[in-house]
Amino acid sequence: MTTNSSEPEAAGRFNETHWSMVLAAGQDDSSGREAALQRLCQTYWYPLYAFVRRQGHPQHDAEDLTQAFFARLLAKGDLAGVDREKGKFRSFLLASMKHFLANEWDKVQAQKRGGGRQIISIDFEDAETKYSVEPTHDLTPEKLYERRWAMTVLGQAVSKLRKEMRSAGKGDQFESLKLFMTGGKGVVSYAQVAANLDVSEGAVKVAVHRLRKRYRQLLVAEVAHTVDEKQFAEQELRGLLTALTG
Amino acid sequence: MKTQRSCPDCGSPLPPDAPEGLCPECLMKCGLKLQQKMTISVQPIETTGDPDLPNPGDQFGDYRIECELGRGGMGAVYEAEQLETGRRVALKVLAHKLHSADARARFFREGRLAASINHPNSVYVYGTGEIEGTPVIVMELINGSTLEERVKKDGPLPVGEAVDAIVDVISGLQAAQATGILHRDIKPANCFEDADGTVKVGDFGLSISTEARDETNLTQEGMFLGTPIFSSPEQLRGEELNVRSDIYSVGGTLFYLLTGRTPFEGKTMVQILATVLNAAPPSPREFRKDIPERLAKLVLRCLEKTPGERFADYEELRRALVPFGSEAPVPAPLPIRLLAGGVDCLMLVLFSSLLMLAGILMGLYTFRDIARPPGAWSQNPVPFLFQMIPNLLPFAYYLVMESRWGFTIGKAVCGLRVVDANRNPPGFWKAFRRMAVYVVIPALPGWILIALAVMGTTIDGQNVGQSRVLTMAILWTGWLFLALLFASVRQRNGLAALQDLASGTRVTRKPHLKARPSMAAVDLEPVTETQSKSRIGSYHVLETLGKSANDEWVLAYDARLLRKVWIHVVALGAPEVPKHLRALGRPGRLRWIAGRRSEGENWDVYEAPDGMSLLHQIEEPQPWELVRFWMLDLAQELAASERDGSPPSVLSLNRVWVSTEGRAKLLDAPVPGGEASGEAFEDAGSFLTKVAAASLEGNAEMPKDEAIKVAIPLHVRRFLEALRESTQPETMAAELKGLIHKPARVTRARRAGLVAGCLAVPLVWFVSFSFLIEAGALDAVTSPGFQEGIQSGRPELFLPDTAAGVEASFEDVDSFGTWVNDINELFHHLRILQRSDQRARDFFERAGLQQEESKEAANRDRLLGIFISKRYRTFVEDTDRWNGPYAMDRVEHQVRLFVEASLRDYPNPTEEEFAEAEAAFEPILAKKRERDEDFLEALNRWMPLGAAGGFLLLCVAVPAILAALCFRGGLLLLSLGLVVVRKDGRRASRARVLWRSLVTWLPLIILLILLSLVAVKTGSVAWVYVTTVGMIIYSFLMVIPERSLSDRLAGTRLVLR
Repeated sequence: MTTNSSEPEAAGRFNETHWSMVLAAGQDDSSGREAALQRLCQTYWYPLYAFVRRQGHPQHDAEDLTQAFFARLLAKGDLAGVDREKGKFRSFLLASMKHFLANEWDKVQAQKRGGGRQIISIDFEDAETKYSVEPTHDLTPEKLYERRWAMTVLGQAVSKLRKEMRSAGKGDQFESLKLFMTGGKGVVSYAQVAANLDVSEGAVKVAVHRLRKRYRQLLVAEVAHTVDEKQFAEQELRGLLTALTG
Repeated sequence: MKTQRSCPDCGSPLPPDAPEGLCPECLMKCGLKLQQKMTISVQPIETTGDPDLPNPGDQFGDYRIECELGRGGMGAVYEAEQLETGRRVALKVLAHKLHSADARARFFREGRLAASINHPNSVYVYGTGEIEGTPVIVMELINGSTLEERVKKDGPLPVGEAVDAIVDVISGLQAAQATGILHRDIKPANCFEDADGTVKVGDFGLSISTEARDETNLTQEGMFLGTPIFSSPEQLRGEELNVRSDIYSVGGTLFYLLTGRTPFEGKTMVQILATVLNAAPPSPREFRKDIPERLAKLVLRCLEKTPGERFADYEELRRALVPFGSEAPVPAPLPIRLLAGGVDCLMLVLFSSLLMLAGILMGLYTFRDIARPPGAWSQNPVPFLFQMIPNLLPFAYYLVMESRWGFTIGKAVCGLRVVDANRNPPGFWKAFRRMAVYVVIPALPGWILIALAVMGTTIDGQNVGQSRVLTMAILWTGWLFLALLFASVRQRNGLAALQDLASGTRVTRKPHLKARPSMAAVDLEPVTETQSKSRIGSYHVLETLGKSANDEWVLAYDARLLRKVWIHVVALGAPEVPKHLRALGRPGRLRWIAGRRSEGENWDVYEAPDGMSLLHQIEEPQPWELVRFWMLDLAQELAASERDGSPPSVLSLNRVWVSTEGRAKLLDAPVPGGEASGEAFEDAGSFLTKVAAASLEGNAEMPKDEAIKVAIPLHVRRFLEALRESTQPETMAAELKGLIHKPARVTRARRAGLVAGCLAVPLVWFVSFSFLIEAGALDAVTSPGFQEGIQSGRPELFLPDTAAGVEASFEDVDSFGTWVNDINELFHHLRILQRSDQRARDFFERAGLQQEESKEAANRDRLLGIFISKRYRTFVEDTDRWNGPYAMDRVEHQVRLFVEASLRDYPNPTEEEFAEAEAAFEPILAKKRERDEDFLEALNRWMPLGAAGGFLLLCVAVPAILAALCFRGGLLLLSLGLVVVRKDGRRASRARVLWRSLVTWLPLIILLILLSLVAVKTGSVAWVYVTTVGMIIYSFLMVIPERSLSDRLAGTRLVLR
């Protein structure tokens, strides 16, 4: 079994396109990069939104702020006065947002009066629903941001995996095996799943192994987009784990 | 409201937007695994290069630094010599960069905590202090290495040694727990192995423990104070800890000792944290195959993530560990195996009855089916299978129980275990091989017989199953085979029978936990500093313990370490405590802590053991269970002191202290508050003999040559007699060590076992029979033809009537069995009449009167002949039946002749004749049947009890009385390791044992007979219950008191062999 056939769709297009390259190139480069940047923003807007909300901004302000922020980011490719701290898109985005909130608030207000521009498609109603179930205890805006970031990364990797499996006609298999991605022991046994899928237990083990492997590849690929160099992906993953456990 | 779901793997709550409903944390970890490599590098904070720490050769305060022993998170440990006393100690010095007020406070607190523990398996703390402004802890120096060093040097430890070491660690930790301390940093590097192999726990809380919840533990570089690998998940999470957290670390340490690696490995701190927190540990068996499976499971149970799933306390863990210790398992002696086999037989009888009863209750078959020959398989397999239950059950019973648990019910009752070479339960194939030898071989002849009978094989025209001689011969061959299986049993092969040899297993005695029984605590209220009136040195005097002309013992308080000490104040000019005695740190000797000799102050400080002096302790007689530990402690101390040249100057009872832990300590001076002088002993043998005799009798003045009268096991008596002559403390210690593992007294459980053993056979029969009666089948089963009928081709030859149904036998006049009964009754009746005729004739003769031959009598004889001829002709002419075993068995020769003559004499009686005969004899038969019915009713009621009583008499009482006469004790006593002794402890004579047997059994026998008589007479069921209750009360009289009623009457007592 190979997963190659479905891979390019998910990760191939900007496999080697790291965010710094996207930004450094600016808007005057090919539209492919712009699309890549847009895509990153489209993926990771919610953690920022959650951050802004947790900072105390009301819902509508937060919507406007987020939109305005991305508008600025996409227009300028960079925000003045922000270090690209440690080469992580995650840190960069947060620092940029903080900077934006501190310095550009007035401009946004002006913009708002003139009517905000929809830069990226954001389903704010969905966002608010999501935000309303965020844990309300002790999480600082920064922690919430990191946590949401980690969740987004995971969500991306898992949904890509599911898409791949579906398009390979293994949707059922994915549904049955996904529990094993987190260990799965104590909930179902390999034998049970084997019986459900009508295959041998050995085949299930192999399939789980492949599923986990592919998932890891996708996860690393996903994280790789947000770091300067691919070898930092693992470090970033650990950071994200801390964000989740801490 | 939605309920919060949680991750089934890590238990953390699932956020509502968890991708695919999967736990984000676990997902992230799954993603990280791709990069993980199995290497370990845990780096403690570097303290090397701390310019302020002393170097070897330096003089540091009162100490000369000899060498560095190690460095840890908080500083360094040195071997040092205390210049003033010459004592070598381990000196722990706080690193300078940690000299914050907090760190100092913590350092001293840990010192104090450790100082409050005084246990042989815990590193002793002499004191704390500051040298040149640097906090130090002065500790006992262990002449050995840490377990970590040991493993690094020699590789993983042998399983037994590893377990022994951990058992030691547990003892140390238990002592710590008793004083309210959690160690929180157990790891191989914190366990020190002494020169004699004793393992001591050290480093109380010097690493991560108290700081676990402080996030600064994780430094920028991802370094950690201490080793998180042995820390429990809850400790890493900074949660509230309890003893189960330490148990986790103990498990990790055991894992390391067994495999030479840690349960979790990772390259970076985060990896380690992630795995410790969430990954399941691998089984130690993955790295080493000879680890017993149960031990591996035990390790994993310690390493459970959820504290509640680990062992609840050290005692439970110790009990589970002890069977894997280095001490070889003791092979089970034959009498006990025989007893276990007997119990299993009873169980099989019981289970068979229950299964067969269940079959009847479920309507699968009837008792009539069971009476069919096995050949009926092809027509109706279900009854055939049920018939075979008693034959098939043993296979399943032994196979399932031994493969699954390593014991059967009998073995469990007798405390036996089947183990393989790795001390695991045998598992399926080994159990199968055992079963194949042990069950199949003895059963083989029986099975061949059944097969032949089913196939209809005949010998001399008779089905083989019919031949009683052959059946008995074959059944006895089975028993012979069984006995032959044990022909290979030798002491040198671990008492292995053939089934043991064939499967590579042994039957061993279940190891017993021989924990030292603790004594009642004698505690004093701690006294605060201000209450103290005066001081000696830096110690606050609490009270005077004893005073004599030359010295004084004072109980004092060390306010720095918050512990009590003893101070021995001596006269001016008294010699110093010799150097070699100061250095002693053995548990069997009072530990010297400090001392001073000057113009105004002359004193020595010792540890203050809790407990009381031996002389005080033995004002009451003490049980052997305790005394043997004291003797072992003293023997070990004497042996050790002989080795290193530090024997006590005087051996005397007034120099022995017994701690609340039940540990005996030797003092180099008379104990505080005791007699200043006492009888001094020349050698260890006579000293220990005196300790034993005085303690057991509770009489310190016990004359030297007087025998011990209290009940002690026979082996102890023999040991004590030999001890008198012995001079080598080393061999005494070795022998005493062996005695520790033997049972010390006749426990109530053992006495109950005795009664249960006596009652088992009758009770099982009682229960089985009750079931059978419930099924309304007693008459079928008690019929003598029952067994033969099953095994023969024609059961009707044996049974009264199988075709028409046994229940109907009394209504059905034509039935064979009834006919046999009738014919006997008629003959009996005739006999009585003939006898009275004879008496009448004799009377007339003696009176000289001529009496005419009675016509009436002749007519009566004729009518009977006619009656028999007409009524029973068809039966008698069926020669198969008439000459079959049942009829031959039941109809006497004389009766046969009479019946056959009747048939000959009246070949063709008329109807009128028969009507007349019927009128004469039918009432007699009717009356007889009525009587029979009454009798049967009584029998139904009384059969179980009768059987039980009969079995009690036959299987227990009579053998017991015989065995008492021949061997001074029966099999049951032998199996339970008991022996009857006289009041003075010597073995009782045959006559006395016989007398004891009689007083035990005669009342019961008389009771049973009387009750049976009453019951048969009244036919009342109530008597069954009266008897049962009576037997139970009698049993309790045997079990509850220390000396049973029969022992009191016979002037004997039961002791262990």
